[in-house]
Amino acid sequence: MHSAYIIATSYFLPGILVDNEKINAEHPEWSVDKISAKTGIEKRYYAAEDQTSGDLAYIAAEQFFNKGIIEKGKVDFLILCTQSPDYFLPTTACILQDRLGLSKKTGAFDFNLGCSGFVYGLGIAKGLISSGQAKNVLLITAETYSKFIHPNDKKNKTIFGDAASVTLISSQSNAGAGEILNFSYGTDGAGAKHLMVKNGGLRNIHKGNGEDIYEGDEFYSNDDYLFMDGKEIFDFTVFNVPGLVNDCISKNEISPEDVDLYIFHQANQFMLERARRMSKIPAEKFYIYIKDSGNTVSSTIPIALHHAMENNVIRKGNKVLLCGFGVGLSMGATLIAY
Amino acid sequence: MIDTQKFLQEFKEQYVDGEATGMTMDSEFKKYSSWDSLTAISLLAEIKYRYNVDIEEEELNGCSRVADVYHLIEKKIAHA
Repeated sequence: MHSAYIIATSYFLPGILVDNEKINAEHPEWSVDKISAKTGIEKRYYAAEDQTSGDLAYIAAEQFFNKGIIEKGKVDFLILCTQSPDYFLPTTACILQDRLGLSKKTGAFDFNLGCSGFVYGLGIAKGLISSGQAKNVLLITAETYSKFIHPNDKKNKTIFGDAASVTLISSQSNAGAGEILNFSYGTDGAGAKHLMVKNGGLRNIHKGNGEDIYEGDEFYSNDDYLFMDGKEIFDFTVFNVPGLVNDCISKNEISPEDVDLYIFHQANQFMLERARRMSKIPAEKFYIYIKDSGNTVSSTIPIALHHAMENNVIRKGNKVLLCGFGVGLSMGATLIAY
Repeated sequence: MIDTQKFLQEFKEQYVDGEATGMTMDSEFKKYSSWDSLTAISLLAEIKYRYNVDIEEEELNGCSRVADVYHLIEKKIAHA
């Protein structure tokens, strides 16, 4: 059995800046200060109208390769995590193999998860490496939730941003690498309806006739667009994440004090703070990076991880617990040993 | 009987930036500027966590003072 190591992570934010001033201009009753105080978010970025998740993934990957971390020819597996693929079929990862000029001996596939996606992606990559099926896995997360958000939906507009991230997971360690240890997973499909784009998939194939539903003056839903029941997602998070974190800690045969840093899916700062308190995690061990990119779904953890590494928050010998949770409803946690 | 000081402290912690430092049991909790649906969601989750009591958003809508929420929780515990 081979060990699997996170070698490097980088990310790309697309070009359309949506800052709190812009949101305030569209929704004057929703003040800039209130938005940033509650969510911890000041900026998020949207893909251009003709720019897809596949495009974001391509740009992020080219930038990653330009850093000289690994030659394209050495990548033998490409995994793309997205819920906004370029097509129903074919697989966007297959298209990316061609666009990036990766070897035709590369394995490639997409998987459909959101906020928990990066952790699941690490699990898949570890599985491929430890079973000897791959040596160098490129895990890309890429999402354009902006294309699912209704123009009048100020709540979701405030939270979500588009991004792509690239992570190299390898069987070969190096200085600065983090070994991927053991995982905990969880799923509650009964909560599927709480975070959903109802129309446009094969269950409800027709799109374009969704009705705007308001609660008083506030936009509530339209089945053609992203719907999120904030209370249900909040409750799912604060009541399930502590147990998942504890389970991951015990699967790794350590105690909570041994964890040096926790990086949760960066949903919004208010909810994260509640989740931290419920999980009894000290504030100084809890990493937050959301202000300048927002909730980028499966990219939030790799973006935060990138910044934690860049700023020397993670040092050799540290144990870092990653925890993703959300749409599905789905959750996963793992421990990385640096 | 739930300790009112402890209850009040937990209530105050739902508000950002110490905005509710001067809050009392008679305070109208929805009149603070940081009160919104997110604060309401967080408060209901805290109540469930601490007291294992489910309060619906509609029931919270019927409360205006901190003491109203306290009494609602006590009533639910008594009838459990």
